[in-house]
Amino acid sequence: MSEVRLAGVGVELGGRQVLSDVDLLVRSGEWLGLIGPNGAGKTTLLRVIANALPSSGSVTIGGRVVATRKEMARLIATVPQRPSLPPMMRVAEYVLMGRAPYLSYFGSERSDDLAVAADAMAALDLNDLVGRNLGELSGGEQQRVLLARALAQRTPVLILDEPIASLDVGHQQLVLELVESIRVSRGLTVLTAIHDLTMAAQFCDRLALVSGGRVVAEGSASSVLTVRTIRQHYGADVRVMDDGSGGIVVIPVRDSEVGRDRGTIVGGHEYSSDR
Amino acid sequence: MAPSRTRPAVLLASIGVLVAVMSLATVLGPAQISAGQVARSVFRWIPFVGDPVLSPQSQAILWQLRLPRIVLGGLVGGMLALAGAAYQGVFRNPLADPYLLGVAAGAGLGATVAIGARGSGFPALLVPLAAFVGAVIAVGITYALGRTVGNRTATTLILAGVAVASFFTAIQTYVQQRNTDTLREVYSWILGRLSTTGWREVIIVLPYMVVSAAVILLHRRLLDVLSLGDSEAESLGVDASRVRLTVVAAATLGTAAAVAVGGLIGFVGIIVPHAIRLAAGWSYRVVLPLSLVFGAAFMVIADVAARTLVAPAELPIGVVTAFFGAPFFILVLRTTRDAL
Repeated sequence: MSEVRLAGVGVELGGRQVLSDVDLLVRSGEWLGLIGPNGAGKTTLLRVIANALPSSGSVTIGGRVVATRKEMARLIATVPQRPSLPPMMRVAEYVLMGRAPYLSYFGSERSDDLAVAADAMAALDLNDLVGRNLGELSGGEQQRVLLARALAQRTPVLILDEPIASLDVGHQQLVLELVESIRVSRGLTVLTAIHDLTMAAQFCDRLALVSGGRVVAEGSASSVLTVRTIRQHYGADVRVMDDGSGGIVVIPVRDSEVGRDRGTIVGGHEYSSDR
Repeated sequence: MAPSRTRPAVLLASIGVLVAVMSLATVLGPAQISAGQVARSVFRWIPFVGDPVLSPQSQAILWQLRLPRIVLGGLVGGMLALAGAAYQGVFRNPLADPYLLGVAAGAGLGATVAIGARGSGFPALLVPLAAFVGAVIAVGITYALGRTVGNRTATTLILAGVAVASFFTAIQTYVQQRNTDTLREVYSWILGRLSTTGWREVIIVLPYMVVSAAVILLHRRLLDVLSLGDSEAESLGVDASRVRLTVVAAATLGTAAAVAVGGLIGFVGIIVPHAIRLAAGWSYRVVLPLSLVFGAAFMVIADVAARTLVAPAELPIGVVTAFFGAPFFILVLRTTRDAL
């Protein structure tokens, strides 16, 4: 069991209440997308879950409070928003770092650690890149390497902080498809902070909208992504549409267009704004 | 694919270079002693090999002057290079050197006070001890300051080090001004010098350096993890603050011992690790052991230059390391911008 449960979680940083009274449940094997405007507290929430920030309230992983850093690193693998990728480090060495939680203080990697790292690299199709330096990789390749390191940690929970923020649409799709495939094949519980609402709706099982340090809406994409909610919390005018196959598409609308005749929408029909 | 590590053949070859350099250094000097004579003297306990071919005077020069100094040079150079590499690792800063957190200023103050106090009966033999104590105190204050300032990041520590170094240097300058008669001696100490009285210095610093080097070398994998930054290292289950504290404490102990017997010898702690990175890769599993070996070799060569270039006078060894080190460092910077 690898469900993640938060109850009454609060975080105060520098005298400011960054998170207040957050209750959240991520079921085992589920992909939860954390959405919300900049500065809402998404990254803070992810850090609290990974025990990287002190907080009030309770956080349990698989029903247990995790006490040590090492135990946490065996339960949750985190891909940070701005990872440090030393340019001269080779891909294989970087992926092997994922085995650090399993090594004793002065220990070094054994053959089974090398096998796990090799398996992670194979799963992300990195076999051609093992000897390359991190500094030589493209953005998409870097994301695959980051995922491989996380996978080498062999954790039941995977946290991704803005995994597609700096990628083009093709690579965004590729990375999220990869996350989906490893989630399914390895039975992972996945938490992702994500800005792209359409991608969030397409890939995540459920969404939680964080705003002003609170979870203000939670549920399926269609229940969370409404025109009214997005206007209220993002201050943005959007159209929310059905993509024709049950998915949801969120399109920003320029101020001048609001209230105008919206014309024909090709390949789908408009979603009711106030659902 | 295995992680980076120093291949046994590479390590053996490096040690071979060090032994060769040290052997060469035994035959270079104002007194003529040939390689054969040195070899026979060294191996004199083996039957039929070692004939006592050296005169008692040459024997004394070899065993009481040259060899202790060569060994001491090797220890100091290896220690400074290893400590420099370790500091660069824990602070993720290519310009970190072993003196970063105030070792130099603290040792400088300790030595200045001790040299100044000799007139009032302070034994000259205790100057290294005073330098050692000053260095450890300065770094201790830096660490305590860095912790109280809050988040204990590497940057906080470095800034605390800058403040402590300035403070200690100010006091040292004041003490020096009050004791102008010892100015020359303090100056010579600050420029670095390897002068020995037999094996005494070697025996004094060896335990500190062995412990320091062992602790640093044992952290080589963890220093690689730390190269990802504190928060990522911690997400991998590594206690970055603990690793930093342990490595800094070990490096400080070894550096303080090196400074106590060698004065402030600059550049070794920066150029040797960077040259190794350029030649052999980024991983501390490679950089640390090779820095130890080549730091030792570099210092032995520098000391040969210091005692032969203007013989019978001697150049301060700090002048030699900086004179050759600075241009080499610029070369390294120009060619390894990406690697740093």
